[in-house]
Amino acid sequence: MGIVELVDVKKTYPLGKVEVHAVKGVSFCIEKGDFISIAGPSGSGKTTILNMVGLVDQPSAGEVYIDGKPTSKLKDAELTRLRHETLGFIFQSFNLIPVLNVWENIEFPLLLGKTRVSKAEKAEWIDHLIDEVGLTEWRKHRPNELSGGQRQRVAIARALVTRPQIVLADEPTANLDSATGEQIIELMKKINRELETTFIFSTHDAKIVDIADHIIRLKDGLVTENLRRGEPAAAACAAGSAEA
Amino acid sequence: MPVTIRMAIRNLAAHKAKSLIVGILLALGVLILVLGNSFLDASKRGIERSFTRNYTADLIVTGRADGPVSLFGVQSVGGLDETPIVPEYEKVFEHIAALPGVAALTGSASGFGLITDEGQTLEEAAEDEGEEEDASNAFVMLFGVDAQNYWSVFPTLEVARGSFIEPGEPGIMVEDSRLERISKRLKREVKIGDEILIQGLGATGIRLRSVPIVGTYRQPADGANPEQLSYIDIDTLRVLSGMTVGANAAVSLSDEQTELLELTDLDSLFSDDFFAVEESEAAAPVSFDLDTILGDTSEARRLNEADRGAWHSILVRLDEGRSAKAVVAELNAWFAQEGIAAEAGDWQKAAGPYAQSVDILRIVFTVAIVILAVVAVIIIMNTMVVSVIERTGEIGTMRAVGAGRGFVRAMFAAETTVLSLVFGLVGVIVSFIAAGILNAAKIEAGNQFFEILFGGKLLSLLIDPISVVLSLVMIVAVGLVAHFYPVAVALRIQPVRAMQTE
Repeated sequence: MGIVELVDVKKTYPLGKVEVHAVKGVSFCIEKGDFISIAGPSGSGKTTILNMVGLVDQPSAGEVYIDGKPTSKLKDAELTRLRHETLGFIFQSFNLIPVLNVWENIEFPLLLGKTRVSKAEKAEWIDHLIDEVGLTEWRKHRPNELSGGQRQRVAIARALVTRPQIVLADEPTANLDSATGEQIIELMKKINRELETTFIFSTHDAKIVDIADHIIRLKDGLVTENLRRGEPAAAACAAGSAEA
Repeated sequence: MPVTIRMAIRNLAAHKAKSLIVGILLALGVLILVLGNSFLDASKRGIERSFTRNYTADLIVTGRADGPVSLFGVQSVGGLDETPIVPEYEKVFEHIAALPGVAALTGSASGFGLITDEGQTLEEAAEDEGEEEDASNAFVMLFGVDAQNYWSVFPTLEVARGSFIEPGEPGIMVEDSRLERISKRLKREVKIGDEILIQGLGATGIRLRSVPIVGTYRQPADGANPEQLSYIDIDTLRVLSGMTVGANAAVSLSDEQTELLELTDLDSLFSDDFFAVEESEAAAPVSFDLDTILGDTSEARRLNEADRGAWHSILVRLDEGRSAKAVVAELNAWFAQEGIAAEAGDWQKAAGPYAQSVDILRIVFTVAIVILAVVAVIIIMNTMVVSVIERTGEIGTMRAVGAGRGFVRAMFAAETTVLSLVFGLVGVIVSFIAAGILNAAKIEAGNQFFEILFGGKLLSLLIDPISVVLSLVMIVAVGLVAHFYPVAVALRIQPVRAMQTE
């Protein structure tokens, strides 16, 4: 059973008097622990698919399953809870909260849910994540005092702090130079191996796409390639996920 | 510290310009509220202190009338209604005197008059004042006192020259500084013991009485005082105000007299029959004696004598700590039970228009504050909406990483509350400083209007802690009202907006 499954997902946006078909019927499956790249040129539908997988946008048709659960009928509060418990986000523009320092930005998602962890346990976990992303010296700094790469490292730590099953990253290297971008992807890959967290990231950078274990290529809102490294055919979900 | 408060404080510090615009508005609101209330409280306190000590005591009992009855008469449209006397005065007086907690009481009556020479009109008196003076030098507000009891109810009243009015003796006491003005007015030096002519201005017509000035009193310096107030012996006041035996005497009319009063055809009074009777009587020889031409006038004189049982009010001084409200309620219940058309009230009823002036001022102030609050709400709302729009990405990110609508609401509520409280406290501090400066400046009330407004001869602001707390509560409430719409805008921001920001 896949951790994420899309079944004939379509997304249409009204644009004035015309409708834009951003995603035209996409189906794929992502297994737990995958390090997956959704690749394609601008306008291919990468971000739209990521938004729907991240439950921040709803498909016009079809179904998105997260950990086997259909999500199209969920209410706002249920979607919020599911996002908080299951998903972590890394944004293209980092999207850190400007008034909080590194430590507080990483702590922020832990303050939102109903799950309570002890202060000591929380501090230990945040400190570990800060060490992991190499920002020990910068823990008290505000985002405006950090470089782009450092900000994205904070965003990665923040995305991981709730121990989510899935981390979504929308063009995580787009605002970084290529060397820093590669470091960020390497860091994500390292965490993917260590924590077995599923990473789904969109990119149009061919060098970064090559690092992924599983690549889904899009063009004009359709999947043109669904390739798992070392496997000849497109990945398919095990039976049973879509029936939930 | 909760993350919402922490973020609120830091967000306010991060957006200094916007925080300052809204904050200054809030601080200004608190400043106006605290100083305004302090001013009105001082005014009311000053009037209360002055009036209860010097004029009204702790409570008053009056007769009933169509309008409110105070120590100064009936308040009515046109102001010509006759002040009712206290019915069954002796019985009421004795009942009050026997009540527990009553320290002293006295009867009182009030009227208005003109210090005059040979019965001038007010206009003529005004003309005599010359260019620099006005008719107020001639005008006197008269308090007819029960000399037996009055001075013990108002022990703070001081004699400056001469003596108090003695029981049973005619006399008037004027405010000390007025003696010179009366001399100027009458174009002769008026001394203690000299008689002055008073023209009574009552609803029943104009009456003249000559009365000796027995003394002058010193205007207490601790509060607002009605100018032109003079104390006069009750009998003279009664005559000047038309409170005579005849004013209340019941007259029995014959059927024929009643018929004449009901006559509507005036021509019939001058009919042939009428003159025929006159002619037949004129035919008889009559001798006239000037002394007896009016016949027996003893009844007319009796009816013109002061009605010694007539009082406009009873003023009651209570023991320290005794609640006037409780005694007022007790007395009104007793009046209802006994069927006596009288009513009791506290000092505010007694002070009448003087106490109301502060209430009216408070209403005007409240209306102004409400208008200011509405303007403040609109400005704060607009500023916050701009702030929400600027923070769309941030709010979207919070929503994406798991913040519910409740968190967004709490975050903005925290920002508004912190902003309101911080700048509210700034407003309070500025209010204390401003009050200190104004008090130190010793601003004098230039005239009677400002004396009433200031609650004394000097502007004296004392900030009440309750007023401070209420002002802060109100300003936080204004902030919270103003934040509802911006929060509604913020709640419409979808988590997907986090993905769309650059």
